[in-house]
Amino acid sequence: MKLFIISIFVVSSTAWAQSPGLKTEWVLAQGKLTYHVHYPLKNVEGVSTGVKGKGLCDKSRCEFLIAVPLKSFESGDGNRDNHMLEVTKAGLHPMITVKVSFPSGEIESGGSVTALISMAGESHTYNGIPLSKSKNGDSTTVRGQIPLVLSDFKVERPALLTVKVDDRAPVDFELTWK
Amino acid sequence: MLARIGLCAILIFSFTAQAAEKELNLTDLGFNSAETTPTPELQKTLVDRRYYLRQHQVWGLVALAAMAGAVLTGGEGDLPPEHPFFAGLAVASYGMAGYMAAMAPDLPHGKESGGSKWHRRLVWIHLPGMILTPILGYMAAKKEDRGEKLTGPEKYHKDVAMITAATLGVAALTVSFDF
Repeated sequence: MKLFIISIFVVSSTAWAQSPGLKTEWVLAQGKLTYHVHYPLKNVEGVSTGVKGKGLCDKSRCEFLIAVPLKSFESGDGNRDNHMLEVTKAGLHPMITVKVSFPSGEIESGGSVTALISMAGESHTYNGIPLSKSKNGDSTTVRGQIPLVLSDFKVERPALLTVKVDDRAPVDFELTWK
Repeated sequence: MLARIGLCAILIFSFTAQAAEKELNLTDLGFNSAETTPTPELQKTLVDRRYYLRQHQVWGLVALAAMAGAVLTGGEGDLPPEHPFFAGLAVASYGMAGYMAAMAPDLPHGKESGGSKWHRRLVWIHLPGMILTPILGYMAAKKEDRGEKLTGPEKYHKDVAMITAATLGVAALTVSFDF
């Protein structure tokens, strides 16, 4: 009887830890990433909707993993997309991954997050990325911009007529979670 | 005893399940291994492609500049010696640019779109132009040397050269600006 009570306690405490009034698992239902690159004579945007993600929350923290294949970005010019794949070493590191971690209590309140981004075989942490959230039924859409800098990932900056693009290549994101 | 083993099993299962859930990976997201596996051959192809296209760009710009020089030094009657020099340089560098473009490996998933698509389409104008222009120029020079009037196709040398130079310029612009 004593063991039965202990077993019930263990099982229920595990369940409580996983779901203390908040959703424990989030799945990315829809996502769009847009990078912006400034050439001397033009601005370029590359869009990907091939992003996938998942998030897990326990009592104290939420851990999210978001990833996108570099091949899935399209800028409207096939040759430029191929060049992007080369400079980001897509053959060797085909994915961009983003790891986000924050206290569980902040999942509803918004604010800003810290993201560990891995690209081209390098990783860099960006702090204080502001988020805006909107709820629609059982889904939550998160929007923001990662202030990505190409040199943080040792990405060789493409050049047009010998003039290199800006080092800053901010990435807008719009992610709908369920 | 059996009950204790059962309790241990429950404890281990509970904590293992939690720990396992913490570590998300790309497979959890639904990506297949083909998407996430590195392919060094692809990277080599991309690097080779970039090398040849960079060479193509340099030789293309030399061809464009030489063509502009040839147009500017051209005209009626006796022409300065710079004209055939620029013309020869334009043809040679254009040939190198074309060779470098042809050598650039295609990508298995390569798609042609945007400015680079038009860049390639314009080849159908400037390639015949770059073949015809020196031939017509040679014919025109021979007739000029003999003091004959330009009555045959050679009289279009200047027009063909202008169209070719303009098309080369537009081809360069298609990969430099957004239209």
